[in-house]
Amino acid sequence: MLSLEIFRAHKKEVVAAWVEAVFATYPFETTGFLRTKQDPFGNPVAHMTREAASTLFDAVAGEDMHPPTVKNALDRFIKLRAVQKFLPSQSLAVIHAMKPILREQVLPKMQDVGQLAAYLEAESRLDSLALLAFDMYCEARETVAEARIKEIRNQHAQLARWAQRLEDGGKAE
Amino acid sequence: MFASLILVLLMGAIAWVGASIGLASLFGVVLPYVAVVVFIAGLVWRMVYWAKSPVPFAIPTTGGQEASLDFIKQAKIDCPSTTWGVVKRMFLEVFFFRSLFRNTLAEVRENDPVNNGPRSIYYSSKWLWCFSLLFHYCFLLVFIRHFRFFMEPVPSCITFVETIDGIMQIGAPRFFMTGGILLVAVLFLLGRRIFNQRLRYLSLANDYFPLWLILGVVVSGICLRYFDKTEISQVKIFLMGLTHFSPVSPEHLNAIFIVHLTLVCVLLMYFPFSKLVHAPGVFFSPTRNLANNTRRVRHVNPWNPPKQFFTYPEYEDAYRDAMAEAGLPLEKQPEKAAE
Amino acid sequence: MAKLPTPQMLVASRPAFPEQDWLDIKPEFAPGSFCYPAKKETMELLHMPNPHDWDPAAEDWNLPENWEKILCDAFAERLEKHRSLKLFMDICVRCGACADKCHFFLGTNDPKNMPVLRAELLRSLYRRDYTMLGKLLGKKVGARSWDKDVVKELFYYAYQCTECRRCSLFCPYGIDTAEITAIVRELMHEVGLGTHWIMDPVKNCSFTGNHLGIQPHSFVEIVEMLADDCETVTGIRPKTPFNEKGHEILFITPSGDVFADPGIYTFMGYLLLFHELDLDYTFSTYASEGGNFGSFTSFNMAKKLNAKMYAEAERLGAKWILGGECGHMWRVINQYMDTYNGPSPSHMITPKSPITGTVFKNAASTKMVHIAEFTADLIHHNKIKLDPSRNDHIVTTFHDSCNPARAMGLLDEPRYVLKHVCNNFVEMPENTIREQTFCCGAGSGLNTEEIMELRMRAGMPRGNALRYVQQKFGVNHMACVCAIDRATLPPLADYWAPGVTVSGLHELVGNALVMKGEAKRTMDLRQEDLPNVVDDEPEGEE
Repeated sequence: MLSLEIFRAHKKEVVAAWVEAVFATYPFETTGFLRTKQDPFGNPVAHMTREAASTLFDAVAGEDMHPPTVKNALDRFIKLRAVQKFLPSQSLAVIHAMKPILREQVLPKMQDVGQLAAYLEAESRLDSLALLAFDMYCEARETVAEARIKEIRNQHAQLARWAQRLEDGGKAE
Repeated sequence: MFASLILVLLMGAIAWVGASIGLASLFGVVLPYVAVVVFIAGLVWRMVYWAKSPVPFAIPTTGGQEASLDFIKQAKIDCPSTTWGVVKRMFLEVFFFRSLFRNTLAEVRENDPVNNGPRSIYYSSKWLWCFSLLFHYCFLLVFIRHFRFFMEPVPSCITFVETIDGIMQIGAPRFFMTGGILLVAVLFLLGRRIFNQRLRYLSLANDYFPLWLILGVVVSGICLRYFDKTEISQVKIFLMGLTHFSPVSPEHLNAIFIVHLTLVCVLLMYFPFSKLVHAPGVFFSPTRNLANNTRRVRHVNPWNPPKQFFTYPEYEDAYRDAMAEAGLPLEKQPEKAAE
Repeated sequence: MAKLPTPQMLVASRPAFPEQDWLDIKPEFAPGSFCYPAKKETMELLHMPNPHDWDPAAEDWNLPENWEKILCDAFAERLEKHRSLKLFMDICVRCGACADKCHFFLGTNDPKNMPVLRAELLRSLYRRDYTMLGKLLGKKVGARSWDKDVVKELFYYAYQCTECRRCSLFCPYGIDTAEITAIVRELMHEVGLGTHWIMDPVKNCSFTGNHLGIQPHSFVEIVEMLADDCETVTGIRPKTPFNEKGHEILFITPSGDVFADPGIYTFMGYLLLFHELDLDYTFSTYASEGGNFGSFTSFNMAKKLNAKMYAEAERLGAKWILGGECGHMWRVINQYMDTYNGPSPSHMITPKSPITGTVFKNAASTKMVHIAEFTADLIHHNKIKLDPSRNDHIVTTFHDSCNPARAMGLLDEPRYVLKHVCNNFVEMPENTIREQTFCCGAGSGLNTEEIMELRMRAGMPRGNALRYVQQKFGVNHMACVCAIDRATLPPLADYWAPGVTVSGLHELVGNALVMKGEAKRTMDLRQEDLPNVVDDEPEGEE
C-alpha cells in the first residue's frame, strides 16, 4: 500500500490547504474570523469544515471507510453550505477544490514511485465523494423546502382539521 | 490605530517642547487646573444627562433562578429579588467584573471523543477578565500611591500600600509591582485589539486612543521613577503648591515630568466625553441595578401613555351574533343590542 | 472556443475583498435573508405612521419625503424617554465579550451580527448628533450621517436579532441589545417599515384576540375539537369554559397552541390537567392571545395588546390569571405588564393555588402565575398522580427559551416538572442551557418561512448542542416552554439533528397524568401508539 502511505504522509498539509481554500470561499466578512492564525478561534463554521476536511481526505486517500461514516462527517458541512448565500455550484465546488491541492502536493511524489494509476483512482474517489455531497446537498435543500411547507401546514394544522370537519359536516347534513 | 498613537506622541512632544522653551507653567500649572475642572464638571454633566432620562421599564437580565416556590433555590445574587440582592450583584459586578467572569469562548476542540473529530465547544475564557481586573486594580493602586505627592504628612495607609507594592524588594528605587503589572495589562488590552482580527475590525480610534494615552502615562511614569530619576522632593513641593492653590514655578522640573503630567491632564479631560464613562455608567445600567421583582412590585413608568386598545364592548359589538349563536355568554344579547 | 469555468473559478465568482471598513459596507438583500414587508392596509388599520408599499429588495424603499427628520426626531425622543438607550450609546467600550455570544454571529459569521457592531450601527448615528468628538471629527471617530442605505442597514440587522439577551448576560455593563433592537424597530416603524409576519398577527390579535384572526365562535369550536381528541386518548372529555364570569382563574396562553402542531398537544395537556384538578377557571375568546406580537413592534403596541388581559380579568371577575407556556408573552408579563397596564384590577388577589394553598407571593402585584410554577407546586405537594413510564420511549432534553431564562429566571420549575413526568432527562452542554441558553434562531417575529435559510444558520448553535446530546446520549426529544419554540425547533431539529421531536412541557404532563376514571392509555396525545404498553391480562375474554 505504497500510495496510501504517501497520502498519509501528506494529510496534514492537504487538509490545512483545503480548509484554507474553503475559508477563502466565504465572502469577505467571514474570512478574517474563520482563519485567524494566532488564536485558534474556532466557531461552529470552522469546526464543521475541519470535521469534513479530515474525513474527506481519508476517503480520497483510500482509507478503509464506511460510507455512513463519511456521510456523517460531511453532513453538517454540506448542510451549512446549503443554507449559506451561495449558488449550488459554489457550495459544492469546494469539494473539487481538493484536486489542485492534491495535484500539487501528492501527484509528483506518486509519479516518482510510479503510482500514477493509484493516484488517478484517488481522484476518481474524490469525484464520487462530490456526487455523494451533491446528494446530501439536494437532500438538505429539500429539507429546507419541506420545512417551509411543513411550517405553514403546522401553523394552521388545527384550523385545517376544523375546516375539514365543517366541510364533512356540511356534506352529512 | 496609528493615528491615535501619533496623536498621543504628538501631545507628549508638544509638552516636551513646551517645557523646554519655557512654557512649563502653561503645561504644569494652567493645564492641571483646567483638566480637573473639566473632568469634574464633565462627569457631573454626563451623569445628570443620563439621570434626566427616566427608566421606564425594569429590565434586569436574570442570570439565574428566580425567586418563586419555596422548594426551588433562588440564585440570590445573579437573579436578585431584593435591593440587598441587587447591592450584592452590583458589588460583584463592579469589584470583580462578574459578567466578564462568565465569558466563554467559542472554539474548536480538535479531537473530541464523542464526535471522533473536531467539535465546537464554548468553554470558559478568563483572560479578558483577568487582565481587565489587573488593569483596573493596578490603576487604582497606582492612583492611591500618588497621593503621597499631594499630602503631608503622608497617611499611613498610603505608606502601607507602597510597602506591599514594593514587597518584592527588587532594585533601587524599589520596584513597584503595580506599575509593572499595569504596563503588562495595558499591553495585553492593546494587543487584543491589534492582533485579534475580530476586535481589530470593530475597534475605532476612540478605542485605541485611551489605551495609547494610558500607555504613555504609564511609560513616562516608569521612566520618571526608574530611569530618568526625578527629584522627588521638588515634585512634591510643586504638587503641594498646586493642591494648595499657590503654585510654584515648574521651570526647573524634568521635561518628562511635564509630559507625564500633561498626558494625565489629557486623560482627565478626555474621560467624561468618551467611552471611559463606563466607570460611572455601570451603576446606571438598568439590566443590572434593578431587582427581578417586577411581578411582586409595580415599576412605574413616568411617561406611561394612556391605555388605548380594542375594548371588550367593541369586540362584542363586532362579533355578537356569531357569539350568541355559539352560545357564548354575552354582556348584551343581540335583541337588546339592536334596540 | 468558449472555456468552461473550473470549480475554482466558480467559487471565486463572488465580490472581491472590499477595502472599506464596516461603516462603508452595505448589506445585500438576498432572498432568504429578509422578511416580507407589512401590507399597507394592515399598517393603516393599526394607525401606524407613514404606511406605504415597499419592497426590501428594491433600490428605493419609498420612504416618506421628510424621513430623515422623522428619524432624527424619533431618535431624540427615545433618548429622552429611555435612560437605557442613552447609557448604552455612551458606555460601550467595545471589549468584544459579546461577539461570539450571539447565535446570529456564530451562525452567519457576518461581523455586523456581533452585538457590539449591531449597536454601533445606531451608535455611529448617535455620535454625530450627541457627542462633541463625533461632531468635530466625524468618520474618524466612527460617526456617520443618516442616509437611505443606513436605514436599510438598520432594518436588515434589526431583523437579524431575536432580542434573546444572551449578549447582555456577558456584557460587563449589562448593555442589552434587545433594548437597542427594539428601539431600532420602533424607529423603522416611524417611517412605515415593518414586516408582514409581525404586523399581520398584530392586527389579528388586536381585533379578534388571536394571531390568525379566527372569530370567537370558530375559536371555541377549534378548542372543543381538542377536547374531543382528549376524549379519544383518555376516555374523558375535559370541559372547555369560555368567557364565563365568576371563576377564580382566567387562563391565557398563546393562541398558537390552539392552531399549530405541535402546540395543540400542549394545549390538550392543559385541558386534561385542569379537568383532573377540577380547576375553577375560564378561557376568554377576547383575551385569547398570550403571546405578544406587539412587543416585536413597539413598546406601545405591546401595551395595547397586553391591556386586554387585565380588562378581561376585570370584566369576568377572575381573581388571578394563570399563564401558559410562552416565551415573549412572559417577558412582557414579567417585566412590562404591570408597568404598562397596572395596577391590576382592584378585585384581584395575590394568586393562591386552590389545590395546594400555596400563595404565589412573587406575583403579588401582577397577579399572574406561570403554569410551570403552578404545576411544579402541584407535584411538590403530591396533588396529581403521574406515571412517568408512559414517557419512557423518549429521552428528553430541555431547551430554555430566551425570555423565561434571561428576563424572568424560570429555570428550575420546568425542570422539576420535566423530571417528574419523564424518567430519561439529559441536559445539553453546560454553556448552552439555563441563562446561557441559545436561541432557537427565530424569536421576536423572525419565525417566518421566507427566511428559513437564515433561521437554519442562526439556530445552528442550538442545533449543534442538540445534535451533540443526540449522538452522545441518544436524546430523541426536546421539551420547551415557548410557543415560538414549538413552531421553530421542529424544522431546526429536522435539519441539524434529524430524529428529535419537539413538544411543550405540558404535553408530557398530559401524557403522564393519571386521571380519575380514565381509560387505559394506549396512545399519547398525538394519538401515536405508546410502545411500552403491556397488553392487558386477558380480561376481555369474559
